Amino acid sequence: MKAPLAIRVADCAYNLWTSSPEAEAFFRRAYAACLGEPVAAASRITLIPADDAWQARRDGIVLGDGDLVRTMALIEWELLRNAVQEQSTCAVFHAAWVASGGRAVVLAGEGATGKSGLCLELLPQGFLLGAEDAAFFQADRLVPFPRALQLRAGDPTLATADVERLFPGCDGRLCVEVRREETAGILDVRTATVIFLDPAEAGRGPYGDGPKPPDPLIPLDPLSALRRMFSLCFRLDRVAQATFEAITSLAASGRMFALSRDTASRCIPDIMERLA
Amino acid sequence: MPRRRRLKPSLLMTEKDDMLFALDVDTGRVHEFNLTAKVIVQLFLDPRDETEAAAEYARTFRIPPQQALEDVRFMLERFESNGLLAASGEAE
Repeated sequence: MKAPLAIRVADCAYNLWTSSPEAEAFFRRAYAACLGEPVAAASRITLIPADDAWQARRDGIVLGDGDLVRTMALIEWELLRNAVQEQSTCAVFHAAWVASGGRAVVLAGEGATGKSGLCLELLPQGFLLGAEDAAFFQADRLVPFPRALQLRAGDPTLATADVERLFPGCDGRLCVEVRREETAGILDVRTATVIFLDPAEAGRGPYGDGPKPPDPLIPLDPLSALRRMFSLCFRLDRVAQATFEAITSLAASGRMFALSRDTASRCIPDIMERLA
Repeated sequence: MPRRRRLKPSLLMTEKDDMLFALDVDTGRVHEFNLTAKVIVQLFLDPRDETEAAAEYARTFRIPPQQALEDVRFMLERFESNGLLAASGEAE
C-alpha cells in the first residue's frame, strides 16, 4: 500500500490508507486544505476490500462495511465524530467560521441554517474559510478545519459555485472544493464576531411584509448570547476557562448578534468594516 | 451543626464589568450575577455555612448582620433552585 493520506481535523491527525483510487481521489479533494505530513501518533483509518464489499476501520476497530460509497461516508463521519467526541482537546461548536483581515466571523447555528451556503457566498468576497460546520475552540484560539463545503443538491447557493469545483459527496450532498490559499490560519477568539443565523420566513422577506428595519443585525444581550452559544457546544466538558472568558468577552463587548440568513451574505462585509 | 455549602465544581466563572457569568459544564446553563450576587457567589466557592458567609458579606457591604443573613439565605435558595450547589457529600 502507498503512503497514507494525512488528514488533519483541527488538532487531530488521521492517516488514511486505502487501495481504492476512487476513495483516495475523493478524500484528497474533500480534505485538500486539511492534508499534511503523516505523523506517527495519528489514528489509523483503513478502507480495504473485504469479501465482495469494502470495510472501514479506525485503529483496528471495524466501523462498518458495505459498498464503497457507504464505507467512505462512514469514514467521513468517523473523522469528525472521533475528533469531536474523543480525540480533540478543543470545545467544538455547531458553527462555521470565515476570516477577513485576521479576524474571524463565527457563523453559529443548528443544521440547515445555511452556514455552508453562506461560506460559499462569502469566499468570493475575499473571506477565508476556517470551518464550515464544526468550529474548534482551543483555549482562546480558533483552530481551522477547512474541509470542502457540503450542500444539499437543491441549495440555491450552489448556483454561485464554479462548476469545476463541484463534486459528489458520499452522503447525497454536493461538495465544493476549498483550496488551501482560501483558508484561514489559527485565529484569536477575542477579536472575533459571532453571528447566530436565524432562518428567514419561507416565501417572505426576512422581515415579513412590514418595513425593513434599518439595521438587520440584532445585537444580543450578553446572557442571551452566551446561552445561544453554549447550546451549540458538542462537549461542554471541553470548554476551557480561557474559552469561556474569551466568548464572554465577546458577549459583554457587544460582538454577538443575530442575523437573518437571507441578508447575511450582503451584511457581513459591512459588519466587518463597521467592527474593525 | 450548621450545614456547610459550596458551589458545584463544574462551574466556570468569569467577571465582566460588574457582572459575573457562570457556565455549568454539566448542564450547559449559563448564569449571570450582579454585583451583590457576585460577592455571595464568591463566598461559596469554598465550603461555608450561611452564618460565616453572612458575617463576611456584612463586613464587605457594611450592612446589619440580620440583613446580610437574609440576603445570603435568599441567594442560597436561588443557587439551590438553579442547581448550582454541590451535593452534600461534595461540600466539605
